[in-house]
Amino acid sequence: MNMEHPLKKIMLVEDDPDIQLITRLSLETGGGYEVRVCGSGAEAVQSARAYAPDLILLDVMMPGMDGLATMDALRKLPGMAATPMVFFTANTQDQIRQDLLRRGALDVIIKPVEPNALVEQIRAIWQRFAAGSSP
Amino acid sequence: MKFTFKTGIYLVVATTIATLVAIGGAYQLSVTERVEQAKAETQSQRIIAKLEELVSAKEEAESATLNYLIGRSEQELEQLRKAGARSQIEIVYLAEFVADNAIQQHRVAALDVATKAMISLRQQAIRLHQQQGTAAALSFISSDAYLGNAREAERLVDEMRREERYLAAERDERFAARTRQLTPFTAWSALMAIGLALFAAAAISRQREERRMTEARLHDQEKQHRLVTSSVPAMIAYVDTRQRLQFHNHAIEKLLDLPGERLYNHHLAEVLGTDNYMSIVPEIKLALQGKRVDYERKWPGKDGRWQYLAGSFIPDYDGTGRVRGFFAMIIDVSARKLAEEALRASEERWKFALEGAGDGVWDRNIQTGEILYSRRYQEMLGFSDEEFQNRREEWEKRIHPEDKPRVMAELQAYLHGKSPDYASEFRMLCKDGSWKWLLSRGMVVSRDADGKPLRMIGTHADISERVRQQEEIARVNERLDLALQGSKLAIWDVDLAAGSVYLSEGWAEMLGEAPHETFTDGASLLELVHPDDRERIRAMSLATVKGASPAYHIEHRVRTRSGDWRWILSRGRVVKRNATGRALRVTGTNADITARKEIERMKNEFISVVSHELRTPLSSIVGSLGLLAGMTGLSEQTQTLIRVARDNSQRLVRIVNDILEFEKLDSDALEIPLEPVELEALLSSAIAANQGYAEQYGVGMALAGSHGPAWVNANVDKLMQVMANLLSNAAKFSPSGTHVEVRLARMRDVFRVSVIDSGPGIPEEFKPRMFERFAQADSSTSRQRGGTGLGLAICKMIIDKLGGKIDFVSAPGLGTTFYFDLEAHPPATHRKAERPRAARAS
Repeated sequence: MNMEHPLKKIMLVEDDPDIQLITRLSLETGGGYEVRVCGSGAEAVQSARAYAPDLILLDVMMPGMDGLATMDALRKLPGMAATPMVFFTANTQDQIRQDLLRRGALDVIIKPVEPNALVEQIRAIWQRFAAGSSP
Repeated sequence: MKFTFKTGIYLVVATTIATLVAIGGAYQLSVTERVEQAKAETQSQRIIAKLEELVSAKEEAESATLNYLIGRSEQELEQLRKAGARSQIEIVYLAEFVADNAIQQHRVAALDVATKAMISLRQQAIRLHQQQGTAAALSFISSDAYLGNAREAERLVDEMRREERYLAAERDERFAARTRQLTPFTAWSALMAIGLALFAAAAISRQREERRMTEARLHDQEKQHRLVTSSVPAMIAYVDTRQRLQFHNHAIEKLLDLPGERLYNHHLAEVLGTDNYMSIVPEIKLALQGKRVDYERKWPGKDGRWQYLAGSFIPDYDGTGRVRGFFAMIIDVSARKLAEEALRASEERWKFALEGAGDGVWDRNIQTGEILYSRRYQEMLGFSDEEFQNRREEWEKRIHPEDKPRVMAELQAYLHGKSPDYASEFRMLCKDGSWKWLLSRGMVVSRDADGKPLRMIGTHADISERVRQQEEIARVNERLDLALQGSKLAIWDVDLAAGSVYLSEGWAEMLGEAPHETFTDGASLLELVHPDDRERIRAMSLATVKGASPAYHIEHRVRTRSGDWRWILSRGRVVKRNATGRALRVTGTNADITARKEIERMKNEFISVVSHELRTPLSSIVGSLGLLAGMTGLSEQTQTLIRVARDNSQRLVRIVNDILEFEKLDSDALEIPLEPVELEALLSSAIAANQGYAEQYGVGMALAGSHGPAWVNANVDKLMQVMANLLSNAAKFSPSGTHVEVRLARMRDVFRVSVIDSGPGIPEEFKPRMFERFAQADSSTSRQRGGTGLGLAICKMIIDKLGGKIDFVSAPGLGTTFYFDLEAHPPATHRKAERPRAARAS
């Protein structure tokens, strides 16, 4: 993956329907990305390979598989080990943030966030990721 | 000599004949007269010789006096002293020689007076010389008084000399006259003498035999007598009224180092030497006046060392009660004297040592009740010598009534051998009415044959300060115990050299045991600690001991008896180091913070839940409004309503964020991770991040000047948070069109970051509450300006946790400057440090 590969497909894993809607709209209308929404970790694991997203945006606190467990499961899927995963959480505790980064998250975005700001943050994260992974 | 009856008869007959011869030859010069003539002649010669000696001694004395006055040599003084002594001895001889001549006796007495006066005048001259100088002394010896006395002495000597010569001439004349009368009776006398001689020869022959036998008996007696007197160690002598030695034993010869023949019938002055003789003249005179004299004298020994002699002069009387001499009994008491002197010196030494050390000394005679109290002893109680009697009562009456029975019991126990030593602490009344704590110690130094104590010596030490300290320590300990019980703390004390650890009762309680003091070692203690915490404890201990950390401060878990884990907050510091700085003792406290930890855990959980539950609906609202605002074709009124909803939803987000942030910071446990931060770069980032916000108010922002690398040990995110608060406040309160200035300055060991606005300033009455939560000068401001009332409280908490200081200066109408100081971290530490983490706009 490199600079010539722009961010196109984002998989959003989020259990709250309102946030699913708003986030999807923000990314689609503000960023022009294609967004696939999964209501649970299990759904994400099922559809990830087929959808092959460029980036996965995960909520942390979800019923059933939480965000971390979902990330671990997704990483085990063939071809998904290096897919960038960004958490989207309402928890502002540094401890949680540090844990997520240590476990392999690319970054953490704190909720709530303005639609524009969300798009800007995703763009910045992708640029950093792309620069870091370019040959 | 013993006379028998027969000898007496012979003598009577012989005397009768001799009387007849004498009557017959009344004018004839007898053999006896010739002898008398010769004796008188010799006596005169002796007197004249002694007078010459006296004159010579006087001249010597004069010469020595003059030489001393001119040359001031100490040798001359010695010479003078000797000459003076010699003069006096000559006078003694002269007095003896002229005993049968009243006129001459009178002159000798006058000469004695003149000689003594002369000695006194010379001494006066010497004193004058020493006090007023040579001229005064020389003037004195040429004075009439001085010269008159000398002339008087010379006159007396001259008169005596002339008298003796006159007597000699008279004797010669008388002898010549007698010789002329001799002739007619010579034949008769010769015949009578022959008859008498024949008769006497027969008698004497008989008498001689008797005398020989008597003498043999006497000799035996004397031998026995000598044997006895020689075998006693005492020195025994007999001195007659002429001060001549008539008897002495061997010990006397040994003492004087002279053979018997040089002693017998010699004058004491000759035998003893001038100096020694003069030193006992007063005693000799008393003895010859019939008084018994006992005395002790230092006497120069043969080997140059001093001997101590104790002597008694016992007068001897004749049948008529007249003194005819005295017995001298003398013993050598050097050994006793030396022992006494050694004892006295030793006592003085220990008294000196004890008093030098500040202790008072007492010395008690147990039988008489007399006690000698040293000067220091009395001073200790505020008394001087005159005020303190050497009585036991002086001590007893000053002992505190509460202490007295115990002190007396302790003393009696010691004196009766029930206690091995005497040491007693008690209060004594001082002169000024105050009480002083004393430690009295003593020991019996002498006992009688039955073991009864006779003398006891001891010391008094002032222990008031020690007692006061002990009481103070007891009080402090009492308070400490109360505090420890109240706070549920356990004290620990590590002796690093011994490797031992002491833990107070509270520790056992924390582990779920009955309270008891614990003595253990570091390794056993570490076994109780949770395995995950052990490494941290080792590192902290090492840092504390090495001085890398100013104090020991750590939270860790320990296993209790029941197997549970409890959280312990352990705090301490090195309390003793040796000269090289090596830690010897570390002391501190352990507190059980399990409950606090549980509250923290619950709080964290609460924050987590609140965060989620509040933010999730807010996310939807904020997101929806954001999307709505981006839509086109909305009426103006709709757009206004959306903006109002959006602004308020954003404010709500900030309030929630601040409340959660405040709660997090308020927790003691929250430690902000530190990292090297370069302030200039950080401030630029902060300005960039807040520029947009400031623009809403028409306010600009700028970093004043360039400072160069300014490294501190802090946290980028938290500093960005502080700057966001300070910058947004400054922007909000600045009039439109002004600038907010950010300044970075080095002030000694700290870097100071200032944010300066041109706002209305802070009202005086509000200044003290600036950093309190929800404190705003005007509650309407927060609504108008969208503040939460927590921003500055959060800033203060962050800066405090970073070890810095935050404050402000402001005057109404002149704007406000908020500033914070952070300790500069030496650049060397960051030589190869990573660049500061990119401060992201948040």
